[in-house]
Amino acid sequence: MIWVSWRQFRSNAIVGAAGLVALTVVLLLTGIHLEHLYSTFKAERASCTLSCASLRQNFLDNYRHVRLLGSVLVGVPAVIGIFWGAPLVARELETGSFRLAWTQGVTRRRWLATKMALVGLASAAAAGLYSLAITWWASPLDAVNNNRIGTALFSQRGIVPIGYALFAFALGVVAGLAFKRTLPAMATTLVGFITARGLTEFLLRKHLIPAKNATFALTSSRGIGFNLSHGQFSLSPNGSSFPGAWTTGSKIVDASGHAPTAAFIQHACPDLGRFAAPPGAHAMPAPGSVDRAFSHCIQTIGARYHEVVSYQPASRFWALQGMETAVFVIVAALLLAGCFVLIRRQVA
Amino acid sequence: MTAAIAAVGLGKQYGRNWALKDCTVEIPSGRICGLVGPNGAGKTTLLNLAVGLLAPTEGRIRVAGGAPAAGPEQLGKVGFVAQDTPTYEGLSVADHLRLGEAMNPTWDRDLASERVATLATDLKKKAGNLSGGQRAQLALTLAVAKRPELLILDEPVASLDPLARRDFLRSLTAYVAEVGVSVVLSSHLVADLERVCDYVVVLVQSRVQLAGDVDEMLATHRRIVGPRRDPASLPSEQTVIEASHTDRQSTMLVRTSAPIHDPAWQVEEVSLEDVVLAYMGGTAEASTTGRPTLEVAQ
Repeated sequence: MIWVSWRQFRSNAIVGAAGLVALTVVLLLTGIHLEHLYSTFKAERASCTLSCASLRQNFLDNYRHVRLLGSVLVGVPAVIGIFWGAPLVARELETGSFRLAWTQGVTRRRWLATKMALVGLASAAAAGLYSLAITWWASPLDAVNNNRIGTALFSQRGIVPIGYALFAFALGVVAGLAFKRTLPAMATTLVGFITARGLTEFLLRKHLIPAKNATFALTSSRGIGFNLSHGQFSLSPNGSSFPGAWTTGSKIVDASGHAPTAAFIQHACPDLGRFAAPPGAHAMPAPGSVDRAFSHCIQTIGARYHEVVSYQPASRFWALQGMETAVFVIVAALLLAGCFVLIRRQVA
Repeated sequence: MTAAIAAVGLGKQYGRNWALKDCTVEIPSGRICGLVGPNGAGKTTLLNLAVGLLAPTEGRIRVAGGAPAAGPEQLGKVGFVAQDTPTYEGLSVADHLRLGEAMNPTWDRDLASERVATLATDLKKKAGNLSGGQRAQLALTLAVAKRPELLILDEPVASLDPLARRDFLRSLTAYVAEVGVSVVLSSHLVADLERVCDYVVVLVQSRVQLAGDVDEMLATHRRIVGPRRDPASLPSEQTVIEASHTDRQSTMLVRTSAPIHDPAWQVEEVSLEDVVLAYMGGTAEASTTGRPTLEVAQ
């Protein structure tokens, strides 16, 4: 049965392997050079005095186009789900060849399990190898940027692409069994995968591990914003926490957790209205007086209020990766288990 | 001896429609049985239920002594050639043989290669490029090389040209003569069955209208032609299956166990097709005339 599954998957496997080989060649050649540039950059940074920022920017500008291969990785699981997952059973049901396959001396269940195992492993391996190559290639850039967590890069690095690939594959298989047609199964896989990834990215991920909270005093050196809407002032928090960390929320509150009221802000900063008036309505205030007014105002607010920032520290990158991968793998396993229920009820 | 296929009150429902309803049939093993009936009679549904591709909505079915597709052993006992003889069009003939070998513990490699050699085609040729006849032969090879106890074929020759049809049936009979396997073969063309079958089951609207040994069927049915007469006036041992009348003449197909001596009748032998068509055509009025429509001749 393994040979049968392999024979049916062979041409797909060759395409996938060819893509991975091409990718590896490009990443190896440019990656080795990038490593070299990185050590040069580190040496120069150690002794830089004035142009440190532009030195950093110059380094980060290397291989901008090759970096796009990381963004391509985002689409790889979807392609796997659509072209490896969805047709796995649907094509057999569509062409009628299941009537040949299911009347040989192998039970339907074993037939399905073998196909799933082979193509599922190939899916995980393809996504895993791709991610491994990109993660290695981009490691100098990631080290300088220090932004792997809390950005789109999170889903282009490490082990999460394996979870995504398995999920997309399983979604494709189950959709194929449900619809018995390849094309609707492919469409469902694409839509379902994008939905699941979107929900994870924007809703789920930050809750996988309870966020840490940090409290910051309001000072004039830590900027905060003033918003005017409908003649009422409110404060917008600074939002920054620690280098490389992912801020998931921030608010300005007092000891009992209440936000400052508009009346309080007006009282603490009586001059705000003047600064916010449209230009030309009044004579511009002297520059020094604005600064003084602001620092007085922040001081008054800061006496009672502080900023609370929720964040995921950079050190949690792998913990979050593990959690998110586990979620996708578990959902994939449930979907694949559902296939066995569906195939038993499958009708010709 | 266990029956090849034994069904009791078998039914299969799709939405509101019954593809097969309350079907009770027993097909003996050791025979080449033709399952015949008009389109929509439920032949394909019955055979798909027999190989376990479908699950029944109601009733029971046993095939070669076991529940359909119950496990690898049962799957190995039953060889199946599905309607339109599906194959993997992207795989070569050789790939199909390897597939059969990989999926069947009882695979007979010599038999398979011997049979494929008679196909007169390149083993590397993709199944999608084979002619209909070659593809049917390939499907038959896969079904027989697993050495089944029972071979089930669903309209295997329906889409073939007459020559390919003859070749297919010829190679089927040759195989059966060699290994002595039970066969159930469905078709809506009686002429095909006449060539290979020694037992016939006529299925009309899920009901068995006629089931029996072909020779016995032919021996007990006669067509009688004579002056116009009321069918009810015939002797009691003669049962009228089908009757047609002109102004002066009556033609009737009768079943009788005794010879017909009445000199008024011109007595003719009948072909299997005559008998089958008579039973198939009779169903419409069967319930109103009270004419017997079911005979089990053993």
